[in-house]
Amino acid sequence: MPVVDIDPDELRELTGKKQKSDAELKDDLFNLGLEYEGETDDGLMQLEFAPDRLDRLSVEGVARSLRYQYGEDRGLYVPKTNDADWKIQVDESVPGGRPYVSGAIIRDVTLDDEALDSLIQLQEKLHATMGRKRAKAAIGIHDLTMIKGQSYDDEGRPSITYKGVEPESETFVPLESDAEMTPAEVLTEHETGQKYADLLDGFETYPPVLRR
Amino acid sequence: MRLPESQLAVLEAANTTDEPTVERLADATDLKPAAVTRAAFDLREEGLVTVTESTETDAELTEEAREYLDAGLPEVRLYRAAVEAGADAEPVSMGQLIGASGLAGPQVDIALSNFARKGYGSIDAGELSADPETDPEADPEAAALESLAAGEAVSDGLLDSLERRDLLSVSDRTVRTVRLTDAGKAALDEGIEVAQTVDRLTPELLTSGEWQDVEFTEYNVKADAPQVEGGRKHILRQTADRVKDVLVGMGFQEMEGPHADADFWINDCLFMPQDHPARTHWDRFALDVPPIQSLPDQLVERVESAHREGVGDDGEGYHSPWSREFAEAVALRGHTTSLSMRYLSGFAGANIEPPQRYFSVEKVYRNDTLDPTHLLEFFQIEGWVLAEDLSVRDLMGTFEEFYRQFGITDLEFKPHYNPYTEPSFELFGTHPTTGELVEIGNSGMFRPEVLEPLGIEADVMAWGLALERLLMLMYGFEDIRDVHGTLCDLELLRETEVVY
Repeated sequence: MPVVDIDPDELRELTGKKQKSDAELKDDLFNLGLEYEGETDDGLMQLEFAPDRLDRLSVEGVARSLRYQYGEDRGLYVPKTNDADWKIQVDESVPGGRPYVSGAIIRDVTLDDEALDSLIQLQEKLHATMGRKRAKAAIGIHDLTMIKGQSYDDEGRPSITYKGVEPESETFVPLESDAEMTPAEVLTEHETGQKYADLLDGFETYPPVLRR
Repeated sequence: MRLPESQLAVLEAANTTDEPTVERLADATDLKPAAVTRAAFDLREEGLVTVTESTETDAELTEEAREYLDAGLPEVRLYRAAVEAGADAEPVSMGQLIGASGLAGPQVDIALSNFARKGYGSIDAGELSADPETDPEADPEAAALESLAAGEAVSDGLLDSLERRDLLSVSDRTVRTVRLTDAGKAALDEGIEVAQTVDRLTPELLTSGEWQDVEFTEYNVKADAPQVEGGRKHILRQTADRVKDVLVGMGFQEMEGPHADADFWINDCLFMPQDHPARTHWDRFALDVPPIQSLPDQLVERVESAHREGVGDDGEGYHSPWSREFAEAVALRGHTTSLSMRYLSGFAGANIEPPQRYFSVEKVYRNDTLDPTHLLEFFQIEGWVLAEDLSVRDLMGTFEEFYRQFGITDLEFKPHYNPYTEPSFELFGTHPTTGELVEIGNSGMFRPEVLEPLGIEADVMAWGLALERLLMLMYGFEDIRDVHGTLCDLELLRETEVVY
């Protein structure tokens, strides 16, 4: 079952329950189906919960559950969306084994270190659980200001591209590396690439999301 | 003072300065050691002697060790053969050396491992080189064997290493020594009369009427007696039987069925998607046997449809791949809910007109990591109730009643998720000694996706409880391996109080 690491102080902050002791918090969490499993070296609470509630894979999600439990929040949380001003261009060449792609742009975000850690934990835990170690789904998070959109359609909307590429095609610099590599080289030489190389076993083309 | 003959003999053989052993006294008195021991304890009761007990270790050479006494230790023989073949200068092929050494069978492995352990040389790529600096002729283990054979003592370290090699069988024995006390000496000086006591009543004594005049030996009811262990039921089995009694008393009938079953009954019927992590090869004991193809076709179709499209107007299903081949594959059951599916579907021939109550207390198999609360196999208390208008309140009430029979009244419920039940909750109890919350079971109301393909229209509440966890709460065990499996301590099982 999934386990999430939560800073109890952050939880108190986000729920507005600063007076709650650790024991009280653990009790409230137990009644919600989050079981206290122990503590990390950094003093974070390790909470185990059922895999139908992956919204609890971050401190923000756990805090939302608690606010509902305390009766201080109501209703389903649906973030506001508008018509997209970016576009994901999906090319015919996308290999059949990874047919779907989806994306969202979230604006007005200020990420401090805690929020960034929480976001990365959420991404990694989603990979491990619902994503079945990335076999079913993988998530990329990018800073929009660093992505150069390529004008694509008639309305001049910026876009990124999802397509199949040859293993020995154009090179790029992967995360945590400073060398240019071809897609095939990433799978054999880059640590993360090696870890997930099995997922592309038998693929004739590889499916990268390209930002240009 | 009057004493029985054997006691007087022991008293006379004992003295105040020396402390003879029971064996020496037996020689001196011509009594059996057991009789001397008994007499000594009786004399101690009277304050006439003291008895001191100590433990001595006997080391006896095994048959293997006796062979080595004649032929030499295998590693020494290997070294000699190696030096003869010139392996102290250049590596020589192992096959050649083993032939030359005359070693065969298990002795080859014994020679090689001890050769390496004692640093007589090295073995690399099938070739052996002997270290010319070592001197196997002075091997301390060989010397120790010689000493032991000659009845001489050797160091504890050598005893240990010989025992590890199965060259010694070591056993402990109690040695008792007897010393005369001042009171004993005074009694002897005053003179002691032999009491001709009779220790058993014979037909002759009775018929002759002699029994009226003889003096009978007094029984010492406080004397040590050997402990007799009768066979008894293992507490795990005993608790399983108790659980059965309780559930039968609550109106349940017992289910039975195969330990190895088609994945269809173990998982597919339970709306477990075929790509669920618990169905991967990491968690499942798959068996390399022909598939079970005799599944009920109509039920298989309805189950497949529930997986693909869901049930009801707003059902979704998983839209995930589903193959009959996987459903027919055989594995050890990870839960006895496979039995519940066989019964609820009518496949096992049970009446499924509501209301019905069924249970089983049977073994299940999971590829878990072993730890104090997890084993690869354990007993599951499976159960379900089929009736109209059931709710989780009925389920909680059933647990309160069931566990109260075992003295457990502090149940806690935690909301949970199972693919096959909604709502679901886990049960927890407080460990009597550590005070920790221990998960003791999982339960819920079967979903429409499970019940509709089975053709069931009423509600079904169901559970799987761990028998071993119940035992932990009843007896205070902290490690499941104390009561289950090969590490189980017989002494603990013998001495555990029966909780009923």
